[in-house]
Order: sequence, then structure tokens, then C-alpha cells
Amino acid sequence: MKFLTPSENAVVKKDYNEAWSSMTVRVFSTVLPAFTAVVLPIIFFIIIYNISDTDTAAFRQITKLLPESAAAFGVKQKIFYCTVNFIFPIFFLLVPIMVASAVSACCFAGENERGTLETLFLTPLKPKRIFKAKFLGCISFAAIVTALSFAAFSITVSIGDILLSMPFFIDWNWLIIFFILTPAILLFCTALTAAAMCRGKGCFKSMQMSGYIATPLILLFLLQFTGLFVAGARTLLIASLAVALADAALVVAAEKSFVPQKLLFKPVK
Amino acid sequence: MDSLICTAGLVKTYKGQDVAVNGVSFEVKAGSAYGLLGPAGAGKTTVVMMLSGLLRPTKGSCRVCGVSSPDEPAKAHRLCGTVTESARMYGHMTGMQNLVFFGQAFGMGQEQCRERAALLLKRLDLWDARGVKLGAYSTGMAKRLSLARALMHCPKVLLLDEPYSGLDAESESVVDETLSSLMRNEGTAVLICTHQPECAESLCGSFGILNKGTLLADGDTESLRVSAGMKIGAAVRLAENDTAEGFERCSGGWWRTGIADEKEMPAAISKLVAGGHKIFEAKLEKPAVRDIYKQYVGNGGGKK
Repeated sequence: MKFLTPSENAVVKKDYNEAWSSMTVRVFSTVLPAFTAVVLPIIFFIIIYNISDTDTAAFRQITKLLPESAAAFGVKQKIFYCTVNFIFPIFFLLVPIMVASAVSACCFAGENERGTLETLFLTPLKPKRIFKAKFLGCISFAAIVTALSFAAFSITVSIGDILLSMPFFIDWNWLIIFFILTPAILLFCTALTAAAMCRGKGCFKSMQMSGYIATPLILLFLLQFTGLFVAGARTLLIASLAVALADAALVVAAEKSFVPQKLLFKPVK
Repeated sequence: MDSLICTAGLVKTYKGQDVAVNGVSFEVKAGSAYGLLGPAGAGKTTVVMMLSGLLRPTKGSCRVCGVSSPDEPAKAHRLCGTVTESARMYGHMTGMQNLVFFGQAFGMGQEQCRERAALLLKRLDLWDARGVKLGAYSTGMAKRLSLARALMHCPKVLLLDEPYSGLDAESESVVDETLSSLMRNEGTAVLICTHQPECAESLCGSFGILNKGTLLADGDTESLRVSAGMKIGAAVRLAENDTAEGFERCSGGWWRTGIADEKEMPAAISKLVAGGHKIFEAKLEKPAVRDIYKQYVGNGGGKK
């Protein structure tokens, strides 16, 4: 059995084109990944490469929390290690959050605002099928951009690793971030934006909902600089599972509300 | 002839609001067109939404080709083509791309979609604009493209909500020609909901007058005229200084009187001839649908 019928495939293709024709989506899918995956890591690397090797008390406090494998690193290597593991995940995760939110806002709320969702509901495609096609279209679009962004990020950071004579940066944390947390976030942002649209929110407001997921994640990584804790593989795994659980609830809620009667008809006040 | 569109006691109420549609019943047979006339807010769009399965009625039933639209909307969508003012198409796609996409959404193959789209674009005078993005279309062109979209899957029933609004005279005649050809050759049943009765007059054999959710009257022009209590005008042109008793003087030597039925016309003329009057011209002045509509809805109805 095919996963998508030809009609659903047509909806996915149409959504890809529609998303790409939106300036917001294009900026989030090209400029943002280029900046967070290439430009910012290069800037950080140049700064770290030119920093003096002097150790400070504040820095010693943070490095106490570093794993044993990083204990033998020099100051520059430790700073680069901290940057790659505490700051770069925030930059990297901004890509799936922003792209998934922008694409789904365009394909769900945007389509409703432009009046084309009603026309789509007039086809023999059942609302659940339309939801499925749109949801998969948004997720796959954001996943492709995220994967390309991660590839570019990996190349950039790996060059930094080579220049600083450090081991390859990808560890258990990054594997969990890329293979579990990122898909969970993609699902969450898409489902949250779709659910927001089903609750009557417009395109811009639906996209703003991404702030609800971005804020706690940014805090999770930034709090590591207080020196109080390090978000290890276990913490990241728990965070990912919590997001995945929320995904399931959100997808069910959004799909249930995705019916013409709720979405299209606004009683005259 | 079977009724392809059938509503019975259709009611739609919204929470905490007035009744949007109150007990509307009508039928449209194959190969015919029914004009649902009413001012803005009369409930026309709500009726179309319920018939197309987008809105569930509070009470009553609505069927398209025997299929209950609220219960089997996907099946109903295969049988009917719907055009509403709020159902738009994709501005970033060309006219041809839009039609091909909607054809594919109906399960048609790419090649089949292209052939059908080309036929409809030619028929609706949009062929030259097939490669232009919809965003650059005029209102009339976009409306015609919406009609082409609704016709992509060769529906047996057409539900058209305000199909004439924003159309110029040329576009109106293109739409009328397309619809009458479909009714004549393919037996398509057409429901035209409009606040412009004069536009629907040439196509529709029967009308329903809807106001504030209630169907005030239903039937062909003649039965609507009779039920509205409107008389037919019997007009005659007499010699310059002549005077016809029982007739009202109009300009240009014309005299006019009201008769209940056109069958009374020969008797009225015979009476004048017998009275020694010379009749140069005589004509029946039947009230237009617009006049009947105004009689029911008031002068506020049919405002453009």
C-alpha cells in the first residue's frame, strides 16, 4: 500500500511550492541556516582561535562540569568545546523550530487565510487526508532544511576541530539532539502551529507559537553557563521524550479540529 | 426527470444566534437551473455550504444526486462542483497549474487534467491567460477560472454562489453560454444563488426567494408573479388624440392596464377594437424576475 495517494502527493507538492513562494519561509530556510550553521560558528571559532591561553576563575567553575574526556584540553579547546556543546545546539535547534513554524503557518493558517483551504475541502479528499498530506509536507520540508543545515554545521565545526586538534565533536548528546530531539521539535512546532490555526489563530500568531518551544530550550542550554549543571545525554533524552509526548497529544488535537465546520465558518457577529 | 439537488426542511442555527436558514425546501432537476434569490445575509451561502457538505444542517436533509452531503461529503464532492466567493485558488500558480492541481486532487491523471483544463480554459475564454499567475488575473477572470475548477471533474451538479458578482457583461455571457451548454448537452443541474435576479433570469427556469433564512416563495416566474399578486400589463398604442377607457395613459401614445392573466389580452384588444379604437401596437408587459423579487424582499433587495 502506498503511503500517500496521488491526490495527497499533489497536495504535498503544492505545499512545497507554496511554502517556497513565501518570502518568510525562503528566508528562514536559507539565510537562517546559513547564519546559524556556518557564519556564527566561523565567527565564534575566529574569536576563540585568537583568544589568549589565560585561565580565569569563572571559566574554571564552568569547566569543572565538563566530562573527563575534556579534562586534558587546553583553554582554547575547552572554550571551543563549551561553545559547541552549550551554545551551538541553541543555534542549531533554532532552524527546525523556525522553519517548521514558518512552513506550517504558511501551509495551514496561511492557506485558511487566503481562502484556498475551503477550495481544498471541496475536493473528495477527506479532511483527515488533507491534514495528513499537509502535515507530512511541512515536516518533510523542515526536515530537509534541518538535515542540510546540520550537514553544513558538521563540516564547519569539524574544520574547527581539526584546526584546534580536537576529536570529532559528535557525541551522544549531539546524536540525541539530531536524531530524537530535532524530530520531536519538528513535530511539535508543526502540530502546535496547526493546532493554533484550528483554534482560529492567523498565520503570524500561529508562527509566534514557536516561541513557546524555543524559550525553554534556549534556557536549558544557557543555564549550563551558570555552572550549576550540564545537560547531559540523559537530560536531553528526557526533554526529547517530554516533547514527543506533547507531540502525540497535539497531533491528535489538531487533527480532530481540522474539520471544515470549525475552520471555515465564522458566524456573523 | 430526477431531482439532482434536493433539500427538505433545511435548518441551520448557530449557538446564541438567530436562525440562518429556516426550513428551506426545493428541488432542481437534471438539465435545469434554479435561482435562489436573496439579499446579503439571506442564507444563500449557508444553503450552498450545507449542500456541498462543508456545513452540517441543524435539521432537515440535503442531497446531491441522491447522496446525503452532510453524511458523505467526499462522495458528494465527486458529484458536484461548487463555486463560492470565499473558495479561492492559488495566487502563486498559473491558471493551468491551478486546474491541473485540482484535477489531481480529484484523482485525475496529469495528462487527463491537462486535456480537460485546456478544454475548459478555451471554453471560458481564458486560454491566452493560461500561463499567467492567478494573482495577476482580474476579478472576472478569477471567477471564470473558479468555474473551470468546479467543472474539472465533469460534475452532474453545479452549486454556484454569486457567480455573477464582479463579472463584466462579456464574462457574464461566457458564463451563461457555458452553463446553458452543460445543462442542454450534459443534463447538469445548476443552483445559482444570487442577489442579482436579472443575471439569473435567462438561465433559470424556476426561482426561490430567500429572505432572513426563510424561503418566501418558490416556483417559475409565472407562479411567483401570481403568488406575489402582481398583474401583467396590457399595453396598446392608439392614435394621438384617442382615449382608452379603463387604461392609464403612458408616454408616446401608449395606454396601459393591468390584467390577471395573459389569456385576458385578446378580450381587452377586442373590446377596444369594438369600441372603434385604432390599435397600432399591442404588447404584454410581464413583470421581470427582478420586479417580483423586489415585491417580496422590498427595495433593499437586489442592491448591487
